[in-house]
Formats: sequence, C-alpha cells, structure tokens
Amino acid sequence: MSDAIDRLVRESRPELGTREARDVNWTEVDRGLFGRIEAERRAERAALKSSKGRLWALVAGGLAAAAAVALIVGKAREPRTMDPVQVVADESAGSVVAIEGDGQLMIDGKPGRVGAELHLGDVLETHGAQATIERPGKLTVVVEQGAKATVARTQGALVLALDRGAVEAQVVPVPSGEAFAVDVGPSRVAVHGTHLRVARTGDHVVVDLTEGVVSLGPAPRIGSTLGSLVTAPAHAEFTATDAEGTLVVSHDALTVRAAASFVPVGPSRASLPALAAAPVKSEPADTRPPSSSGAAPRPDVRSPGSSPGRAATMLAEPDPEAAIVAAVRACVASRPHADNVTVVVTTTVRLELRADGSVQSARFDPPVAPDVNGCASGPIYGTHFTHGGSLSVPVDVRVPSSAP
Amino acid sequence: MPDEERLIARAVAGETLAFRQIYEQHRSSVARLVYRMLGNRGDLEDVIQEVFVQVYKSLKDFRGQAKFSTWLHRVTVNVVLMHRRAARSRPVFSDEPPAEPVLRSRDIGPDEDTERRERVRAFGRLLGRLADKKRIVFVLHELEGIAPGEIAKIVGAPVLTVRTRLFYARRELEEMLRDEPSLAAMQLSFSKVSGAGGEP
Repeated sequence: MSDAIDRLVRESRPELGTREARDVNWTEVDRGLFGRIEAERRAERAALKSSKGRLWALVAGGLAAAAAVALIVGKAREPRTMDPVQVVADESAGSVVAIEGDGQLMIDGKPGRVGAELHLGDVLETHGAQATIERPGKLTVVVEQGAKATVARTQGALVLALDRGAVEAQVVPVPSGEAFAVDVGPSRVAVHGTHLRVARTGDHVVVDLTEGVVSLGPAPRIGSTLGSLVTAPAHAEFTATDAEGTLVVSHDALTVRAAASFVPVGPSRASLPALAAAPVKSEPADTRPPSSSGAAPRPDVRSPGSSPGRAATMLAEPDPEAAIVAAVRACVASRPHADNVTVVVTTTVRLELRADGSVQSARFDPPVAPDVNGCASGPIYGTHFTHGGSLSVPVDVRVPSSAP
Repeated sequence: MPDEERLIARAVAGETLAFRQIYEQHRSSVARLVYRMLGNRGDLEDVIQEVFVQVYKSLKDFRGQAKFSTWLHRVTVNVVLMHRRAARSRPVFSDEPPAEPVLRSRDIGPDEDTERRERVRAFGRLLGRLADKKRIVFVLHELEGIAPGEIAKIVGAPVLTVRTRLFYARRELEEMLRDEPSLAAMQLSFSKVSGAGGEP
C-alpha cells in the first residue's frame, strides 16, 4: 500500500495544482492585489502626515518632549564632548563580541574576529553575517549583514557613519548629551538612550525606534544634533540629504519594526570586563513584538505613546475609522504571546452612531478576546464621527507583522 | 548583493515595480502551493491575493536570515491556515455545489492519461481529508520536495514534530486508500500500470 502512496506522490508532484495555477485569473488577482496595495499606501501616507503634524505640535506645545529639546539645546552651548578638536586619544569604539552567519565581518578589508578592538576610522563590512559590537556599559550594536559602516568618532559618544545596510543598537541612557549616533550622509540620528535600528538604502533612510528618543537632523560639526525629536514608538523615514525636510514619522506601534533581543549592557555588566568578550546571544528579532524587548534596559526618557490607549488617542483626530483600526491593532499587539507565534485577527467593528456622530454601540463581528474587547472599547467609544447611522470598520491585525 | 536581495531591498524602499517583479516571479508557484494546501479551486484567487498582500506588508521584516522561498512558504502557509479557519466558521449554504464525488472505477476512461489525471485528482481529494497540520507538512515534503528541517522553519515546529506529522499523514493516507473502494479499484489499476510500465 505504501508503494501506492509513493506512486501517487510521484504522479501528483508535477501535476497536482499545476493546471489550476495556470488557469488562475491573473488579471483579477492583479487588479485586486495592486488596488489593495495602493489603498494601504494611501492609508500609510495619511497616517504619516498626521503623525508628522502631531510631532511638531508636540514639540511646539511644550509637552514632555520639550524638556528634552531644552536639554539638547542647552547641551549645545556647553563644552562639547563630541568636538573633534578635543579628540586626542583614540578611544576604543568597542569590541566585536559575536559574528553570526556563514559569512564574515571585514575590518578595513581584512577578516575580523570575535574579540577584535575597533578604533576610529575602522571600516566595517559584513558579508553573509552580522556582527555584534559591544562598548561595555554603554551600548551594543548589531551591524546587520550586507552593511558597511565607518567608525567616525569614538571620543564620548560613538558615531558610526552608515554607508549601506542597517545597524541596530541598544544604548544605555546617558544623563545628558548623546550616547551614540549614526551618520547617514550629511544627516545624523543621535541617540540619548534607546533601542533603535537605522537602515539605509541609497539615500533612503528608515529609523525604527522601539524605546526612548532620538534627534534627527543635519550632522553637526561639533556638539549635539539640533534636529527633530522623535519619541518611541516610531517609524521614521527620510532622505539622507535632507533629513528634516523629508522626515515622515508614524507612531503607530504596528508600523515599528520589532526590536532584536539584546543582552543587557547596563553598568553591572560593565563592571565585569570578563563578560565583554562573551558572545551576545541573538534571537530572531522578527518574531518579537515591538513592546516585548524584555532584555532591554529601560531608558530614562519614557515614550509618551507607548501604551495602546495612547496610540489610539493619537490617531483619533484625523480619521475616526483609522483611529478605531489603530486602537484594535494596538490592543492586540499589547497582549502577551509567545515569541514564535504570529497572532492574526480578522474582524469587523459594527458601529451604531448617534446623530451627533458619537458611538452609541459597538460590537466585534466575529468576537475578539475579552481583553482586546475591553482594551479597545475606551478608544472606540471615545471616537467621534462627522455623521450618524451605521458603520462597519474592517480590522486586520497581524502581530508580529513579520513572518519567519 | 545578489539580485534577489537587491530586488527585495528595492521593494522595501517602496518601488512598486520591484514588488511586481517579485510577485510575477513567484505567483505561479504560490498558486500551485495554495491549491495543494486548500484542496479545492474555490477561493484560489482570493487566497493568492491575500498571500501577496501579506508579503507586501511584511517584506520590510524579511532580514535574509532564512531563504526568501522559505519565508514566502511560511507566509503562504499562514494565509492558507487563516483562510481555512475563517472558512470553517462560515455557514455553508445549501445551494453551494457539493464536493466532487469520489470517482467510481467505471467512470475511469480507457485512456491511460485520463486514468493518471483521475488518480491525481483523487489523491488531491484524499489530501483534503487530512488534518491541516498533517496535510501541510505532507504537501511541503512530498509534493514540494522541501526537507523536514526547512519545513520546521516554515511551520514553526520542531523537526521531530514535522517528521511525526509526516509519518501519521502517510499512515492515514494508506488507511484511506484501503477503506475507499473506488481508490482500492484504482490501486488495482495501479498495479497493472506498474507491471506494464516498469517503474524505475
């Protein structure tokens, strides 16, 4: 009988589904697919625009972020720890603590090894591998595969000039000033203590910020970066040649790339120099939701938008339907779940609206988990429409948004 | 940077043309895999569309740690599973066409090619009777030729679990063959073909 199965398998391998795949109405699929993609893009653009508006309103309004603005401006007038004129000693940029993958790390064109010390001017290139660099007690940086970066400064804050690819860093907060920066062409992403990833493709730069706050702006010759402040969670994109002019920011937690899991690099570890050369355990970052970086040290600058409720409120004003979708997504995203599980929720929020546009009743169809229901009900009932009547809002959530 | 990586990077950077190229390169294999896992033609277009919408949304998270094909298979499997769960919760209307009946031996034509096609269709129906988890690993391994280690990454299960599912899938298929009179007759015709044709 097993032979029969083998024969059936052999016969089916080239044939089963081949004709059906050939007969697919591709015109129909193309139209539906690219129509949906265009709709996605429109929604993203709308959300990014409104987020950008809110960011500037936040800064101008003198809310929590304004304190950080003052700090940065103040720091710029103080003696500069990052002034290259003052750089006399070649302070170590850190050391390579792990190289993962089949490829290699090149330092100045030569194969680098675990334990290698990095210095000012070193050019790092990863081919088919990612390298983890640690500056004990200060930061851990993963140079992802296919990246090229130069150590541009080591005195005080470490500055990497990113030519291509991506780096992801977990930075211990510093009491003042900048702890780490990534230069992308003439622009700089300066870090005050955070978990972030900076990716560069040509002049297109993407910053995903899961913790803390960064400044984005022209790289200063000396002193701190006087740019736009971006607080976590945030997904920011800009063109390297004009960071501030092209900056768009989304604070929707679901648009933010999940943080990789890093071993803590706090002061306690710094006091144990023997650990500095130990390989950093690296887990697949894609399987982690944005808010679950359990190993990450908490920065002193807290995100004003890290709770689901906050995310929902932030998105409520410009588009009530988008606000409801964002609220449900944030509530699903905030639920605890195993690292290797992708949660997919497809539901529709059925709304009955009063004549004044307020929400009279709401129900999920099909129902969602009670805690998601409870979490989302506040933002949903707080939403205000410009019309009354009935409304259905489809919601499609996938957490984490990555696959493998 | 290899061409595929470059193409993905361009698509992630927002180039629709690059995404369309990825889509056109992979859509046929995705369609075939979806059909094999769904076991019917009904929602094929919808599911293919959903797979590529998910690819579009998630491509930025593809870090090149796995092969792109493995990642794409995983997205496809997840979408198919999601679709089947949703389908199970949908009411079945009485005017929906009934499932295609299992072919009776006397319906099989004299032409050998026709017989083979009917066997393949019947086998597809048998696969459709397996539980989702078993069918997926069976399709990926036996029909798509993917090694258990890679399937483990696709379905997010240990390799041992994948092997166990393969074992039970095969055993259940054997039982189905035994218990299904029409396929038992097919089994006889098999032996005849095997004896005449000389299987390598």
